Amino acid sequence: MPVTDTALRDVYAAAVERMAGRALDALTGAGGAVAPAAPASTPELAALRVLGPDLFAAQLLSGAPLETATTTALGAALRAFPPETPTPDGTDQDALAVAWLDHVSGFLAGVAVHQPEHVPDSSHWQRWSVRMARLAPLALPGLDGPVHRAARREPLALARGTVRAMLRRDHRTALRLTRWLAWLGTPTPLELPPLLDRLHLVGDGSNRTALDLAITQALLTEHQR
Amino acid sequence: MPTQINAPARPLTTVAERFALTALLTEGEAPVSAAPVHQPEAAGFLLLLLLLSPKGPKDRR
Amino acid sequence: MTTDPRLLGIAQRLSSQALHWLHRAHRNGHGTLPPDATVDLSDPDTAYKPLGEAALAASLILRDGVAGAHDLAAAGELIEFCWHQLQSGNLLYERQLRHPNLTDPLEMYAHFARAGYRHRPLDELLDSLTRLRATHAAEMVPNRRLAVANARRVVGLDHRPDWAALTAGTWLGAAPEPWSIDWSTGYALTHTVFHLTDWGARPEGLPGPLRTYLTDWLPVWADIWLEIGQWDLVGELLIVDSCTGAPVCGLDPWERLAAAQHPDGLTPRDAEPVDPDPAQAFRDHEHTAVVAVIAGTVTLARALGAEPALA
Repeated sequence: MPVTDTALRDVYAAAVERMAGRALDALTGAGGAVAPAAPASTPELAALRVLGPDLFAAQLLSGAPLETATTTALGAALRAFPPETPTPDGTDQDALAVAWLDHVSGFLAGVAVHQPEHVPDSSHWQRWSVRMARLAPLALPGLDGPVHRAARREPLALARGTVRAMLRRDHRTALRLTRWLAWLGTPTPLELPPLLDRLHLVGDGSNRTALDLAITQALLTEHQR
Repeated sequence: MPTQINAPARPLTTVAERFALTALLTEGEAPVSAAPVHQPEAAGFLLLLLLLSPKGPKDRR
Repeated sequence: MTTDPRLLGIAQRLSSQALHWLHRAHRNGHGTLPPDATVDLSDPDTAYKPLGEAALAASLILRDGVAGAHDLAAAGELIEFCWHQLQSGNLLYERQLRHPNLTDPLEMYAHFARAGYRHRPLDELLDSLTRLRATHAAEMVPNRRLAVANARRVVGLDHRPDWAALTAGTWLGAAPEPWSIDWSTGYALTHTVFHLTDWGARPEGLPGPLRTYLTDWLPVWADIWLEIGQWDLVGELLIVDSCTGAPVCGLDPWERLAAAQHPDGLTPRDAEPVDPDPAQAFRDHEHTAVVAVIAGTVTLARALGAEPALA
């Protein structure tokens, strides 16, 4: 079973890469609809679930209406891969993070997914920042709620988490946290342009990373106007 | 544009499939730190000293 | 957090254990200069530098006065031993006389002067050198320049450095992108703060913006180096934390350091195995013991609001 799981996970990861490429194309104005032509395969449905709000980055950043084909596809993905019920509380922080991603995905897809009662535990900035990194897909214009409010309350914790990730050379986590800081837009103790430059240089070249970089750059530019 | 992706009722995903998805959704930080450590060979000043130290005086006949 | 009794208790114990390890090591014959040592010192890092470090640690215990009687006595004996090794200052004097451009005699002397030891001919020599342009034009890295400036201050030499200019030349002075730090820069940073604040006696020596910068990022630097067991560097960062007058790193680094410290007070510099040969173990981990001693005394002194006995 573990061997099958790894293989399956790799198949899904590859689908996520392809889907991220489509989302990136939409962002740069190059591509068509982000969702693949129907019917979506199971790996594609998984990819839609993983990317969640990022599927709509292009529209949320430009204030355009959400792409119908993609909201429909995400709805199908939520039915194929249903969110966990009952909604996780704070006992399992991993499950809680997933629940928040699911809730916001549901919101965007027009599918009812219960909002969790709890936000990620913020008592230790190290652990909290890692949880927030996982919730980076929530860092988009037009989205707001308890998680976003927590981010606004703790810009220094986010900044510290970012620097920690950079020094550990965990550039993936660092980028996702930089995205939160860029979303915040408030002056933070961390200058974002040189950080983003560095993240471009050390990026792993994947579509997923390129998507996060592009979204982060767009968020930065939006606040610099 | 079709509004129903899954016109025939989609079979439920398997436990294994949901497990694989959850694994991707809960990817955490890098498990091992690559924080900076002492790198004596990277100390530029030693090389500089080697480059700058003057040669010994030539013997004169 | 400044007055967290758990933190202070751990700091006190960490410091005291390390001090007695140093004291015992010196009593057992470690840390002596080689019998044929001349003022030219072919290998200053092996014994000479550690003597200075032990003297530094002892001088701060005596200065801050927050240690118990047993520790104060050990510190007194330790510095006396080091002074004796330096021939009651004669070695420093001869070395400075022969090599006017060296700064280590002054830097070493400062630790003894702090504890009330004076060498009159050395005082005169240093005064004389202070009047040379050459003395102030010597090339050295910025944090060393601060070390020298602070040493002059402690010894009482007549010179008014431009602290702001000296600070501006350091890495810390630029308040750089905090994610750009590396291991050796970490040490440059810690030493900058040590000298600016005279080892925590003058927290006001740190300009406000730099204090803010430090309180923002110290917890991150402590965290990443704690994670990979760089105890020596983490210890220095904890000293910095106390030197700012507004510590932010919290209890965890102290607990981790205390857990790494051996029952006999040996404080390992990192997570590598400790050499079973006591002489090698002393050479390898003497610096970290010094760091642990200083971290404790500076933290307690700042927390208790003790007025240090400045020279």
